[in-house]
Amino acid sequence: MKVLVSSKEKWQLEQHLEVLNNPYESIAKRRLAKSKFDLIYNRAATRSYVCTQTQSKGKKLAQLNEGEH
Amino acid sequence: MERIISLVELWDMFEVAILVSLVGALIGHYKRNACILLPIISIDYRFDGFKELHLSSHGPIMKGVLWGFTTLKAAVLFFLFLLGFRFGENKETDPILFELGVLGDLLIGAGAGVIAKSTISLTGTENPLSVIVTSLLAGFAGLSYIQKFQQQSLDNATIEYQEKLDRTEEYGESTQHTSPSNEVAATHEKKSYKE
Repeated sequence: MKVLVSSKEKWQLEQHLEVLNNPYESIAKRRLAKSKFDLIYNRAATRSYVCTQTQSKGKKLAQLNEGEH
Repeated sequence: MERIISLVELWDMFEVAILVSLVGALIGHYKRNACILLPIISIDYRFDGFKELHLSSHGPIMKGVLWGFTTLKAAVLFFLFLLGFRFGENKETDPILFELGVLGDLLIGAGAGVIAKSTISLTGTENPLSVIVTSLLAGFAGLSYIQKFQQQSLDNATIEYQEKLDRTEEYGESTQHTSPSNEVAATHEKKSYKE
């Protein structure tokens, strides 16, 4: 499943990943970046899941309506 | 064997070992970071009241009164935010993150000191020098050992997180890289690498 993110969230994720990828950065900062990445990603994933579910329900309802007519 | 029934007695017993081990942990922390890293608290709190007040067209006296009320409101809402009550613009903000920094390393050092002292006591050695040397080494080595694991775990995580980022898909929304605190923090972090 694709996780839908806004351009702002994408930018934030890239920034946090950059910190996480930097081996010369302190462990504390890298761990903080990892936590923040998780927060943003999980929030977007939940939102995308709800969005997908709603879309599939809508499609099913449309199909049912077509069947009745 | 002595029975330990209070924290004071525990401290009396392990005092030297813990203190020496803390020095070892501090050396280990300094070796890794080249500085003492104080704890970091990340609070993603938003309050738009001042922006609205700035845009309002009230007289100077009314504006002063409103400034007072808005400051009070911001303080109360911030206190509620700290307690975990989230509403309004803070409904979907990040939880408060607390990275221990040097305190976490000192905690490891204290633990290593207690283990070192206990191990020496079990062997029946009473020489205080052996307690000091072992605790110092335990504090330093214990911290280095744990840091090695943390480093490995973070290095492994980078692949997984890159995959996560690749799984994302952007949807149309205008970019505003201004207010949120974590964006500012990320910008500072990016600047510090370039320097």
